Amino acid sequence: MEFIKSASDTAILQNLVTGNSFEDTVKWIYQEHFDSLSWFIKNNGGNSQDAEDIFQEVVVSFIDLVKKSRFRGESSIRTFLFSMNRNLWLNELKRKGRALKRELKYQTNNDYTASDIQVGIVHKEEKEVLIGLVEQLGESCKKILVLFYYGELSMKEILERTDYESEQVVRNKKYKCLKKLEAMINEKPAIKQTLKTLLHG
Amino acid sequence: MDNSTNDNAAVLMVRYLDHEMPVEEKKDFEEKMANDAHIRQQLDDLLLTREAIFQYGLAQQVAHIRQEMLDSRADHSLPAPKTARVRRLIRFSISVAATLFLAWVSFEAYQYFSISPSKIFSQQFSHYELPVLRSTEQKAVSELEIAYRDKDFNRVVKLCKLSNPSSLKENYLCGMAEMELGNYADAESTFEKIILANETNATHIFKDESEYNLALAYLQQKKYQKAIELFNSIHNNPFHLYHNKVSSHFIRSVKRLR
Repeated sequence: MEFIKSASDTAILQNLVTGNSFEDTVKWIYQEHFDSLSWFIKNNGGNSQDAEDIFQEVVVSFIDLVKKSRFRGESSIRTFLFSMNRNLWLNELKRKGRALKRELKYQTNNDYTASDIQVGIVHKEEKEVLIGLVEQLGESCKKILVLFYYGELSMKEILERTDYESEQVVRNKKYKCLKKLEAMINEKPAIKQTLKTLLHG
Repeated sequence: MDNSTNDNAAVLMVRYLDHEMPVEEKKDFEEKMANDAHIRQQLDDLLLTREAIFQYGLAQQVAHIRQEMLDSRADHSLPAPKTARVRRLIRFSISVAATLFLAWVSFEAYQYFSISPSKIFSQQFSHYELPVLRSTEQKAVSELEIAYRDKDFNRVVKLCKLSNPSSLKENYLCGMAEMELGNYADAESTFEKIILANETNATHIFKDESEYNLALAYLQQKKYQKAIELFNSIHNNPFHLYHNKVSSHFIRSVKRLR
């Protein structure tokens, strides 16, 4: 796969923003960075599961930042992911009430990413609650909302993937599901605040 | 403001959010919003809701890719430490691991000997129920569909063979009737025909349903490799209607049947 072998940071960022070759791009990030980042966690008090969970959160947060044009590109993707991985892991250790007995390896002084990474860190736990909240919607609501607002499919395309009678029925269902989720979010001020920060920075 | 006015305002808000307003209407709406803090607040709430869906979709998509990657990776192990205390810890860990391994072997052996195509099929197959029709729609329903609604699957199959329906929906009903009757070879032909028609016409009408049930039909006919390939493709597509029904664990169960 020529793209995977010769991907530059620019190409990676472009694909994440546009959605072109999105899955291949994310797989490339895993191929290139998972081993080194997971090694860091496993050598600093974590296990394989911790490494996998943290790396997944790193990737999700990174993609989110890129899509919202908040990745400033002042360092390479590698350096940025490493910093994010380290900071997420430190935060996780603090959350679990664990401290490292020795200095972390590979400390850097790159503070320029601090504010961007902090957004990812502060709300990791809240993100998990948010995911749980959306899960409560039920399969049909989740499917329609994700296909429309995340997958950016048209009503016609959604109709073809569901068992409703017409586009208008799908539209009505989408509206009800959206309002249901809105009401659920309005009942949870902490989640609402998290979303405000994720959306507006 | 009464409830219907509130509902209309909310619908308008969603249309604005979804970029479904014509230019003039959008301009009027934005002017109104500029002077009305309540409308701005409502829009903010919707934007947050949309953000929640985005975060969920992104997390799900990355989780799916992660699972694919990790399923194909070998485990990494850390270098062996050298202190005596750590050696004792390792010995303890090995004994725990051995116990867990034996438990896992017993579980896998149970799975291996108790698993069968029929058992998997009965767990995975879902009867297809047609949506309830409004009275005005009932008059337009075909004889084939009426037979299906009455669960007279023999009649459905007979009508399919006589009339050779062209609509994908009726073909799907034919396929599902064949499945209900255990005619898996005939169901296989029907579902393959639906999938091919969709691919030819670049449509997506009962395509996901046909793929999933085709895989089950392959399973019942012991065409395991074909079943596994199709289940894998469903599992690898997070937008597939049956993605959540085809987990890695399920695919491993099917592989044991070979």
